[in-house]
Amino acid sequence: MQLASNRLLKALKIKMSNQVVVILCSVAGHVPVGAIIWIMYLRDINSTAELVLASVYCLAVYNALAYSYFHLFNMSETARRIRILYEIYAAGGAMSPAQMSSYGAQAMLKNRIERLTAMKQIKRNGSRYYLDHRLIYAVSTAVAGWGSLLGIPYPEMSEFGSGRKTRLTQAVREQDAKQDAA
Amino acid sequence: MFQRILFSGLFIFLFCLCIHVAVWRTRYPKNRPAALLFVFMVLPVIAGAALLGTDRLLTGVSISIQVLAGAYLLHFSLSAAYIMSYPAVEAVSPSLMITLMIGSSNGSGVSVEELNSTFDGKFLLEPRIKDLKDAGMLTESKGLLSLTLRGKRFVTPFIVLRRVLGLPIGGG
Repeated sequence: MQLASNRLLKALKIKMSNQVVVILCSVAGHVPVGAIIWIMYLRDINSTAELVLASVYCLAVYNALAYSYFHLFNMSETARRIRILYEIYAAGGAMSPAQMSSYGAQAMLKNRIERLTAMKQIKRNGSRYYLDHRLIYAVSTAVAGWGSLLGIPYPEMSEFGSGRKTRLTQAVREQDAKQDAA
Repeated sequence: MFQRILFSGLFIFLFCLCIHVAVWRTRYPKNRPAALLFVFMVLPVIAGAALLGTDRLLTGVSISIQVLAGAYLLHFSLSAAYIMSYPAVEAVSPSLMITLMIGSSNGSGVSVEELNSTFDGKFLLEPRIKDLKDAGMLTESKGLLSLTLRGKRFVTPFIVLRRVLGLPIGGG
């Protein structure tokens, strides 16, 4: 479905975030997958309670696997490590760190801001960015909280100003130190 | 039957999650991907096999393979979802950091300049290059970064996926 959607969007010259395409395909996929499971198994279940539980089970498994695929695809789309490996691969197998840094950081930041804007999570007003919808912000807060539970240092973002960069850098150093100590 | 499968699958997943939290807080593993796979994928299989074996020995009545397989499929799906999400927890994800920065600005927003100065090469790239070297996917020699065989094997499926989907390689 994703393959067909990409080709269709390209043919119609419609620009849509690749992640949105994956999400829409996953949602649309409920129909054919649901139909197959219904025909093969669910329609033979006589008890209503058993049918409801079986449907919940199928929904949970399908959505968890679709979510996993979304993340796998997202890695190919946004993961810095994948990008670094690809750039070196495309450069014939070797590249200087300075060459990597000079192309990399600004382009990666621009890509991320564009994606977040396309997904309507942030919006630009003049020269400043603001939150639009709060889904990814809620996810970010939950991820930071879960990281704290696992004992992984995460930067405090509650104050703005130059202190923020110091705390971000400090958090990255603390994570590196923890990993080196392991 | 599905009630047993649902509750068993959820119970196995939550139990593995508790083991994961306990291990991470007490003995932060060096090889975290392997540790995650062991806790979430291998341990339940060993426990399930042990359960099947002892149940047959003790009572003469085996636990339904169908129930175990169904429960494991649910647990596997939930575990795959969690494991795929884990890198965002461990590595400071720039996208999540950007939204946290903006969301924490108390409505005053964040300027473009502040974003540019915060997310520079030192923050975005150097820690990931270090991760790749630590994972044996990159080596540095005479001032050049090179892919190892492991690095080539790791990146190739992603390149193939993008080509099959008709997309250029992601922007990072």
